Amino acid sequence: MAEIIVVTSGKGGVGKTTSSAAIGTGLALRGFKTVLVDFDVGLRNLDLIMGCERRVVFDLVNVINEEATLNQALIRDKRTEGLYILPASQTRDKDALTQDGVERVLNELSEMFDYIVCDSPAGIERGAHMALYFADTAIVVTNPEVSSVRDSDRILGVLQSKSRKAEQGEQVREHLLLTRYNPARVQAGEMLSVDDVRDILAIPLLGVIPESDAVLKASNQGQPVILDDQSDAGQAYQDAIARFLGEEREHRFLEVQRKGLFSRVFGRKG
Amino acid sequence: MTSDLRASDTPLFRFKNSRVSLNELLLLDYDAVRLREDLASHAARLPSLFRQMPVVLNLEQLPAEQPVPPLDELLAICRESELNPIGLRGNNRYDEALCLSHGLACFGASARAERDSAEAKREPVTQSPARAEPGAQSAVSETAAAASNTKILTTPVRSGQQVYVPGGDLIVLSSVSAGAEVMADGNIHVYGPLRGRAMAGVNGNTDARIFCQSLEAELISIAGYFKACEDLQSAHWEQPAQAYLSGTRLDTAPL
Repeated sequence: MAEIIVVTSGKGGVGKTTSSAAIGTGLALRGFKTVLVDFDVGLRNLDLIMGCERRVVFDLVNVINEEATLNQALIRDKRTEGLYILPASQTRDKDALTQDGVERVLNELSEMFDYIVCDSPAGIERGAHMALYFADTAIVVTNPEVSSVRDSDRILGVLQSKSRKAEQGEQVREHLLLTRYNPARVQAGEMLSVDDVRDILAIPLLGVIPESDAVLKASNQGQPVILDDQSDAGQAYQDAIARFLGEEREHRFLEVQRKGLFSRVFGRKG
Repeated sequence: MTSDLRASDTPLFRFKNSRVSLNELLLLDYDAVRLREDLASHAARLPSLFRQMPVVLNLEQLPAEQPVPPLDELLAICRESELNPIGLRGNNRYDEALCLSHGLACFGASARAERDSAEAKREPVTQSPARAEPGAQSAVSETAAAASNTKILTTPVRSGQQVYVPGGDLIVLSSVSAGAEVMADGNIHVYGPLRGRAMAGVNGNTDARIFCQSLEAELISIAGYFKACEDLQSAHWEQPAQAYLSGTRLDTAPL
């Protein structure tokens, strides 16, 4: 049985798809058979971030409607062994996602994989609900600003009340992933700090991903940023995966860059 | 002619707040035969007082372990002695529908503790220790009954969530997020930051209070009297605080 992870946020544009791609790739790099499922029907992006948009023939909605088999729709990632992508349909909308259909697809995937990473669309409507309903674990992606934190809080409430686990009286495991973190702006008082966000959301912190040029570059190249070992964001995602798998890692990239650079230079000498 | 003029535009009635002094028949124990005799002898001594005197039957001090007196019998005994029972207090012993079917009003049990202690002060001589004991027991059983309506939440109440506890208190051991709403007919306790909206005494209980570890609320309200975030920010903001009604004003005080 696979563990179903939903990457969700409520608010749009906070880095759900980037994080889904990084987390899926990170788990596969660790040797787990992993599938990335794009639930953003009608606004599919995951295939672009993963650089496989030209190989999409069938999609999630085709499989739900039994127009294609799962094996026909799954795209094998060429860079990372054991990683597959199930793209969303671009020509349909979220109403095409039926609960029975999604359950059937996830059950079938569950027998083939160790981890199923569901990339949720923004919002709290049908698409987001379907993405999180069957989740065992939720990774809540949040930017350090008030509206994103408020929306994350809302989605945590939905996870608590409207997920299958909640209906069975269990709890979905919750993790906070803080993205686009800019220590300089935090210091200037223009951004919420890690502690502010943790205080409001009160869930365990999986990682802090610094705001980084590497993310945009990686997205445009269709390559998950976690594969960029040299970038701070890539390293931060690797740390997050390690923590997800139960390892102890200290949080990095929380201080203003100059100090980080200094210690890195120092580290290389030693 | 005057009535014609009045007919269309003047209202036929209006509600007016009034306070009527009422006597309570406080039952300390129940024995149908003795009660009938004692009431009759009282009535014989003070016939002018008993002439259809409206009374509220107070059953709060009946021993908890004793079976509830049959309501029909109790009313019949009162009416034989020309008492006019108009309502019941402590009627969690009877079904509310049963009281209403007998034309009895159900009075709440508010401010009971204060009244009891006041009575204890007033009648220290007549209250023998033997009688005080059942009273104490019934107080315990009432606490237990109230506790059964209490709802305890151990996880945060998130933005967009609504929690309502009818007829009891709400205790949140975690935080109440901005955009969340917690409501209770009784008190609200939040042992974490209160950032959302809290409404206590929703059914009009003006004695309800709100307690929180850190007052950062968007809005607090007791029995419909409310204060919004702007008015709350001055005093006790982000401090452990309680809110209560003094008259029609919602006050906050540090904890």
